[in-house]
Amino acid sequence: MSDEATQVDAFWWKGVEEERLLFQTCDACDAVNFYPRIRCVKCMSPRLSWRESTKQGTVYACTFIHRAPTADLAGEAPYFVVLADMDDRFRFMARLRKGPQQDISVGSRLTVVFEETKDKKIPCFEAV
Amino acid sequence: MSLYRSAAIAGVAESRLGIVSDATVLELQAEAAEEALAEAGIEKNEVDGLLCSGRWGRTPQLEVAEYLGINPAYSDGTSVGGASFEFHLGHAAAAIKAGLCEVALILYGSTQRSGKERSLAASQNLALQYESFAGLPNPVGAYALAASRHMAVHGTTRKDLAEVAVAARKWAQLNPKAFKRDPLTIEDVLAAQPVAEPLHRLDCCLVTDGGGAVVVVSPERAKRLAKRPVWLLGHGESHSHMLISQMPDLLSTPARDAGERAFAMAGVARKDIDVLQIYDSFTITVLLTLESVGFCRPGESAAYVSGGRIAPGGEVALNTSGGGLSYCHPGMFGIFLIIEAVRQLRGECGPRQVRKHDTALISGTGGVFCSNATCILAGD
Repeated sequence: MSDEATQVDAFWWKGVEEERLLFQTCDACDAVNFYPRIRCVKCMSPRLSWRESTKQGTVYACTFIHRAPTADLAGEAPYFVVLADMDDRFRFMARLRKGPQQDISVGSRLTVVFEETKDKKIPCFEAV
Repeated sequence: MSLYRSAAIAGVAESRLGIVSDATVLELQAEAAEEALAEAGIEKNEVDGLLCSGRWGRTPQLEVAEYLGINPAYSDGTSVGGASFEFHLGHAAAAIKAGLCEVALILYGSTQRSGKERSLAASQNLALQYESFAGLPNPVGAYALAASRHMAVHGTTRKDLAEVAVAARKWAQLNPKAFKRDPLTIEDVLAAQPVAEPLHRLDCCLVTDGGGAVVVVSPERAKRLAKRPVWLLGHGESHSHMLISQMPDLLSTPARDAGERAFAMAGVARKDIDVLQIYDSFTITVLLTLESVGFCRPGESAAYVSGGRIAPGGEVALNTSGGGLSYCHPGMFGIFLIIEAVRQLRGECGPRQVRKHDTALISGTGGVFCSNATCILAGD
């Protein structure tokens, strides 16, 4: 985790460790906040509540990566990176975990799963 | 405050371009600055405004000013990716109109090709921690996401994207300074190695070294120039996000708001624009920008560029230098869009000169569709 991680960031990553995908809603204006913040992105209220995502979403856009950005990921390539509209009204990006179901496109349904990497546990998508 | 005709471009120049293994970023900027001031007929000691941006230092303005021996009364380091220089042009005009300076120098230089300073990996700081685990190579992956969305919603194809790359190459073949001038076909673009599908290698801009300079002056100073001035009619800017996962709509870029502001200020219509310089970091960048600025409706950009319409001899003069795809792309391309627009408006472009060249539109895009500044220029 980065040195800049605040308590908000640490709380979100703790959720990932526990295999929960967290986001926030604002108690004042009901806006969904993702990534999580210390003040609401819409109204600046400090009254933000954590919610647990249903982890279900739909592919909004996707790309099939041949040149991974890091040496750690080079062994995974090629792989899909997906930008998904989650059912909980936030947009979320993750890699599609290698599995039998790989023929995804815009509109495909997905679920978030969790994967151990060298450094930490991370969220990934799986086609449903 | 309107910036309509509040400032003029007096001189433009590139440094050496392409692979320049024996120069520093400061040397490249000195080369470009000297040539741009010389063609303007302006002495260096008249420069009282400095605007620059670069990824090579923490305080590029301080380093450039010290190296060139400039003590600016107005200094601006707006850094919003490759569009920074279109932002700078508006800011220079505003500073001139406010009386803060009279001769502003916009500068850029990069040795990213020789210095290998470009990396596809992103750092883990701050908000990026909510995206970086996805393994998206930056920036190509973000543009690939936008392309995938455009294809799914509008039925755009890889061939439509390839039209942009092929047209750029045809313009580059008319530009002796262009880095890539060998023939290129649609089939070549389609057959290139995939990088982040749907984008392949020839959908991506070049990686070169190079620098550029633009001299901006007050209307008063513009009366005594070595060349005829080029006037700023309108300027608009906007930015909407930093991370691609935070972009509200991947098919609508900040060029929409920036373009509206620029056209409103300039008092001209889209049909009045003779020359378009549209940032082509990737082929998809051109399609989305054309739609966002309003040169065609959403989903119609593929038809807009099809059949050689934006190639030499086509109906639309777009990226006449060969663009970031074939002319040069030293990390940030925005300053080169201005340089080519000015040369076209002055009628200096030789075999690639556009016949009707009274007005030009420059649309700079930065980051991953994060920022846009649009400038509308006219000849004297």
